[in-house]
Amino acid sequence: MISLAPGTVIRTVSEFTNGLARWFTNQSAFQGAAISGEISGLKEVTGGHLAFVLKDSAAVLNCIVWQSKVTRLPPLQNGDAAIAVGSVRLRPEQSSYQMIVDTVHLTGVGELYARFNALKEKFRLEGLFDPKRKRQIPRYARRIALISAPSSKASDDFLSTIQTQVPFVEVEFLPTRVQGAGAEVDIREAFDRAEKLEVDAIVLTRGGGTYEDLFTFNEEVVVRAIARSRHPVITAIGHQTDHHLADDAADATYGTPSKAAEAIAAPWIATRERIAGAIRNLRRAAEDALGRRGQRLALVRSQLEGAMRQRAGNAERTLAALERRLSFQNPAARLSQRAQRFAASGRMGTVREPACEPAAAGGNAPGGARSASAARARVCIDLPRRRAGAFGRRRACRRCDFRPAWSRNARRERRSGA
Amino acid sequence: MSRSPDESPGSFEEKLERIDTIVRELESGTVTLDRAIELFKEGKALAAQCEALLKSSQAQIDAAMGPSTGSD
Repeated sequence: MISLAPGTVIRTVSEFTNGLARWFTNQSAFQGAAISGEISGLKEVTGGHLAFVLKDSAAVLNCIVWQSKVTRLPPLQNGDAAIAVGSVRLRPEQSSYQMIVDTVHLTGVGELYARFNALKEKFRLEGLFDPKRKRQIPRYARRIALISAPSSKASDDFLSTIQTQVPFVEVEFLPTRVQGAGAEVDIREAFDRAEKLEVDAIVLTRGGGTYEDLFTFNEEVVVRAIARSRHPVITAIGHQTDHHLADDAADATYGTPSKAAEAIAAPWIATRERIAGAIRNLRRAAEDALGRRGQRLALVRSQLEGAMRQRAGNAERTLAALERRLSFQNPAARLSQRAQRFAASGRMGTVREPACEPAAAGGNAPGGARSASAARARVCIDLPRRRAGAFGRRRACRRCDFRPAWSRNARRERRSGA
Repeated sequence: MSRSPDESPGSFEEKLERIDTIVRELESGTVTLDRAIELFKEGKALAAQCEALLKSSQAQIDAAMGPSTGSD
């Protein structure tokens, strides 16, 4: 049972909030209001509208400039002191209120921005940002101290990039607060801890945030901790376009945590690729050298076999020639040769060389009254004289003992016969 | 690397050089047949040793490169 005071009107959330919104709209103080403060958290939102926060030391007011009016605004920067003119409306669906800004008048530099400039000038005069102070980040960093917020997107991005690309690089994570009152002291303490570690570099990183949130990285305590660190310092704070005094004091700075990790990994990756390429070339060269030797071996082998075949062939041919000559000198063979010739001459009559045989000569000589010698002479001198001359000093045919008619012996024989 | 007892000493190139010399000797026709056969056998043995050296070199290259470098 509900017990309410008498006369109490029950309304739904929408009824109540819409009533409140109407009341807001009817308040002349909320229409055409001019509110002064410092611009912060400037960002373009979906639809091309511009959102920012107008703030002072104790309160904040969410502001939006519709896209149609953005181009009429002066260039705005976080830290600018400004007067925004517009109307304040309720946002029933969010239980909040917001200023719809028509125009912005810049009134000067904001307090934070003024501090930023003052610190920057101070450090510059001290030489903290002198390029000569910048130390070289070791080309092959093996151990890194990471100063970042625990379980933050920044530390996750950094760690996962290192893990993926160069898992052998050790990261000593020094978690710390990175925003809010006193965060700068926590960061300095993290640097003090890093000093005691043997690392190649310190990485100080955090993700994006409002100008005020990120202002920690302009604080003197942080800048001095970086400047006096005995290890080289790499910063990666906020987004690409953000810039902090910590970046000026660091030895190297990157737009995002992932980019810082990639910069640490890059020399390792390049070298790994070079080594892989060198190994491939080495293997190719070694295999080419083996291939050439293999070809030379095959050639020499075939030459060896060819030379041996040739040598054996020579021996065979020599042997065959000797055998032929030997068989020619065999007495039995010679006899049979003679017998064959004899038989052949008997059958065929006039043949050239066997015609030297006396019987054959006699049988075929025309005019049998002549002497056997003369008959032989007729046959035998059928041989060209040139060949008869080859009888040599014996002056007689080797086969039939015929002496040519012009030889001295034949003349002598003829004389005695007569 | 251990060497079998009948293996002649010397590098791959020295062995090839020796086979070359043997080939020239055989081709010259001045050696006796017995000597030619001896030389031929020596040449064949040297060629087999060269072959073995090539095989072992390839195996050493493969071992030195490791199994993962072949495909990358």
